[in-house]
Amino acid sequence: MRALLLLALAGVAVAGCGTDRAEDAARVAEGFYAAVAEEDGRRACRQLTPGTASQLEKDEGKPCEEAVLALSLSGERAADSAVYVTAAKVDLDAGDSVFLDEAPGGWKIAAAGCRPQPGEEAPYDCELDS
Amino acid sequence: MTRLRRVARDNGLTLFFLGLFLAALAFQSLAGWQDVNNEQLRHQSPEISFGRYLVSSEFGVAMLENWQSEYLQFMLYILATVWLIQRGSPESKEPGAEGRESDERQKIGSHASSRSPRWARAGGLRTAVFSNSLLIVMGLIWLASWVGQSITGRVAYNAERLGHAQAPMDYMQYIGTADFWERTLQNWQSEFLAVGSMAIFAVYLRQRGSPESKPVGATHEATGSTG
Repeated sequence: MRALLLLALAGVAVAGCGTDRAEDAARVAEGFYAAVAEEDGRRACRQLTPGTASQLEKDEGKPCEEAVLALSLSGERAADSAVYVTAAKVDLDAGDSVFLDEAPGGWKIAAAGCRPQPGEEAPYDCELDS
Repeated sequence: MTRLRRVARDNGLTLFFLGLFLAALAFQSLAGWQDVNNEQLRHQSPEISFGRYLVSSEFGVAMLENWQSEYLQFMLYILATVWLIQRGSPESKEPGAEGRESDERQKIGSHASSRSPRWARAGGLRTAVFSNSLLIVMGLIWLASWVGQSITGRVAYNAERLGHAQAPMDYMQYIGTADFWERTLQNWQSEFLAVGSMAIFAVYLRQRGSPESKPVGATHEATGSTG
């Protein structure tokens, strides 16, 4: 009986962690969108995964700090967020979705400015991805 | 013989398989952790700790998809051997004995002895429950494992989908996916093959000393005898 109780408590703790982590992911997504809106390219780029930042530089032929400000992003507040293992998706109020990966220092953005495409299996069409 | 040694000998079969289970689970968790981290590296994502892996859905689904199929296999075998026979198999009843059998043969109700379990003597609902308790418990463990597989499988599947910028699936969507059914059926088919081949192999093949086998010298036609 005591083992069952401990197991239940562990389950609640794990579920609780998921909620906190979803909020953390939402804050990172909001911070990234705020940094771009405030034209703070360096702060925005610090939120990206290394792979996404280098892909952006390669695509645009500019340093990340400059290239990130040219992205067409819309959104300010997170409307919904969900965490699955070490991946998260945050939906913003204006319709953009953001995909994040968990890194040792917290969540990093893998893709942003994403819009759903028709079909269950179609990947989102993203302004920024790796 | 000390009490501990006697307990160990009296429960040797259970303890042996419990030990094997724990060892195999430990090695599975280490291999699974390594595999997940290899995948993380391929996606330029940070590695996860062993503790984190143990509470992850990746580990959960890998463990539970096998549990559910094992319990389903034994549950079906218990149920099928009530009604179906395999002539010549030590696992089977004699032809003609198909079915739930008489109360007298099953030693229940007024046919129970004073040493029979209390619920076998009680009659009514308690005897009905106890008469099917093996099937009920195996069935409940199977269902719980299968539901657990579907819950953890969905989380692991959604993590993969997010990595490809795909929308996550809700529970009802997930249990209609090829991922869920492939995980389920790949385990079912192997269990059904193993149990079916065991039933027929035991007609013609022997293992001296095992109660799963007929005595070595028994005829191929002898059904239900063990040696």
